[in-house]
Amino acid sequence: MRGIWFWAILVAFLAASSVASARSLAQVKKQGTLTWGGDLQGGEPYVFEDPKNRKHLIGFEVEIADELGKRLGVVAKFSQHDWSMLVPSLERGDFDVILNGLEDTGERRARIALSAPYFVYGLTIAIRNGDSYRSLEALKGHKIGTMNQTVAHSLLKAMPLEVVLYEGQQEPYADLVAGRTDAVLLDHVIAQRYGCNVKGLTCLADDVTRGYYVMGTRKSDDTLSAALNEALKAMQADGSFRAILERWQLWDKRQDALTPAAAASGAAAPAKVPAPTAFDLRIPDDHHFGAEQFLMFVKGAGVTLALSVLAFAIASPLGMILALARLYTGKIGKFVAGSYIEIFRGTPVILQLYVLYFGLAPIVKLDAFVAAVLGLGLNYAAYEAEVHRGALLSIPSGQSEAAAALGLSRWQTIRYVLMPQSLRTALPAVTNDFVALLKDSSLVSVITVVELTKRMTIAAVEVRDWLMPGLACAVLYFCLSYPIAAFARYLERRLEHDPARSSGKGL
Amino acid sequence: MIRLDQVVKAFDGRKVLDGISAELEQGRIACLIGPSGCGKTTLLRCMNGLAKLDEGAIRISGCEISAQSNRAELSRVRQEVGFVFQDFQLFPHMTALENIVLAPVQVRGQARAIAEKRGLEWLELVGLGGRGDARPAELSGGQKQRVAIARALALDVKVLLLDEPTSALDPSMRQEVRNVLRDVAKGGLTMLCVTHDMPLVTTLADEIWVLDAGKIVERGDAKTVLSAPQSPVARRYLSSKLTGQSPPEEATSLPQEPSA
Repeated sequence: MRGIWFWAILVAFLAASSVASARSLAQVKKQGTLTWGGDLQGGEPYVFEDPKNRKHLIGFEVEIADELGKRLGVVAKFSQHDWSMLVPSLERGDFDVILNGLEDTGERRARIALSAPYFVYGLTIAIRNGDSYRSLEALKGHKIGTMNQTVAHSLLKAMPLEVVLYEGQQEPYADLVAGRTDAVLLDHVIAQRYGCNVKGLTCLADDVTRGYYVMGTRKSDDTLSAALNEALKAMQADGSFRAILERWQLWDKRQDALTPAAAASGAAAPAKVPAPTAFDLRIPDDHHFGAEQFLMFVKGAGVTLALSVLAFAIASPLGMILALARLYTGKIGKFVAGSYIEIFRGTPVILQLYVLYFGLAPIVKLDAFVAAVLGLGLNYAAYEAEVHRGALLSIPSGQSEAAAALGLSRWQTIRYVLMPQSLRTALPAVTNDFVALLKDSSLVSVITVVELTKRMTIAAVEVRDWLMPGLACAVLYFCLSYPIAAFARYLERRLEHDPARSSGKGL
Repeated sequence: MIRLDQVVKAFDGRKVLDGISAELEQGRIACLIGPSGCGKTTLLRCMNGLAKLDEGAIRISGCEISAQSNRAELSRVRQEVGFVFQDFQLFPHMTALENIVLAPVQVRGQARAIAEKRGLEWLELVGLGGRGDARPAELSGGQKQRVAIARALALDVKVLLLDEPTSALDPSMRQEVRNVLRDVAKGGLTMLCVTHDMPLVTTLADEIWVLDAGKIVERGDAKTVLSAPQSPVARRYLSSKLTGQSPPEEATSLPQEPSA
């Protein structure tokens, strides 16, 4: 019965997605809307919320989309997606066209239909003032920051240097200033707005390489991509396109290559734009999910385990100290412990990680792994404190009276009578929290630590498959957490039958 | 050895102990009897600082307790005075022997080897030689209470306070505890025992204190009080005990009191 339902839902799902993906020019016109996908997090100047009116979107890509829509006789409508998920979302049929700084790469060309280029970007190196690196070559063996799943990332991956990956465009430069990396390689559009103008940073004048921003459509929507290409060509020919770029101060020498007039007149030599094949990082034939990838996963699992164990080594004792302080100290101790617990429990761990890693960078420059261990450890300490507090409170008050009657001091009572008993009570809950921590540790990828889940997303993008890497990742998480969960159950069973415990209830 | 001087203790303005004065000579054993809720247990708890008194003074085993006593003073009293609880309160995570040697090692700073050797002797005394490695949960109620008695004595106390030591036990186990206490008493200890267990009273008591509504209403030689009680309270109480009727007090104890 269950099986039937599963298949029915799967079939319905597939049917729905195939309907959605069958949109083409005719359907766009019939519906009267051209839905374009992008990520607001990319910020200025692509597509972002108007600071004066948050409901209103602005950016040079908004203007391009509006103009394209106008020429197709439809209204352009924005659809928000994580940038790294734009291609899969397009394939799922969530929107009609990607228009969001999508670089022309062989990898993408093999997967979706790419339009004629609408923008030339140059990969720009940013370094700290005073450093002497003048080329990518010179940075061999050093740490270089870039954003995940960019062309810069593909380029750097193939070089003998250490790549540090970020999800946002501001963090790489913040870390460069902090000295955690030696350089940042990103599009000049990002570099100019988030890096070159930062105090203490310099951008190298020469582009490492250049490439195109293109629009992406589904390969099946050939009529739509043809119409978009035609409209784009017309815009470039009549100067309206250049006007948009100029409005956003994006028109520079790099764009000359795209000006038909300039090319036709032959007056100015067209800027040298390397053919897309220059960094046409095609997926090699053997680029499937194999043993080598899996080995990287096992390494990622090692990082996850090390992170969790070390973080818990902080959380558990600190939690106990907080619980004792909250229960048995004076007003100040109670207040401090209570505040700590409420603050760390009451705010997202991801925020704490950001503050610890980026926020504190000007004061203490923590290594990413250290910050991750500390962040998770300090956060979980708050939860452990409450577990231990509950366990301590569950001990009958007669036990501390009996200890007091024997002349034991308060600390001796805690040390020899209360803590050994409360630890037994708390053990199942503590083990349970450790399993939770194991999974929460995937959050630390926001501060550039590559653990198991991050390894999975990187591999998934690389091999264009989420199923196999996802399964491998799940299997590894299971291999880590199941023994712990089983151990917790064993403890629980044992403590239930443990005669030492049942008598602890007193009478 | 024990001297109570105008002891007053109130909970929420209600005087549970209302000016109690009495004394107990060294080596004497007094049983404290009276209806439930009359303040017997509270008086006992005040005598080793588990409950704080509001007025008056207690002199016990050379120590002074008053409303002003601080933690250090109370801790000293507790090292000089043994206390046996109605519900044993053995530490469940420790063996019988570990229960006994905890205070000598941690509080007195005795060497563990010496403390354990002496602990085994205490176990021998309460008839549990060879059960040193048993956990409390492996022991019967009577055995637990005997371990608790050994634990209270292990600090070489001169005074032993007992709070209904037999009332949580099956009748069959009471006798073993009474016998142990009888043997212990031979060592010249000063003992004050709150109890409803008349056979225990007749086994142990040199004298009997009768408490009612926070006051001592009768105090005297055990035989005299048992055979010819003077106060109406004592008469009523003893007659109900001896005829075996209405002993509901045995099942209940005082409501939980805040500890000092």
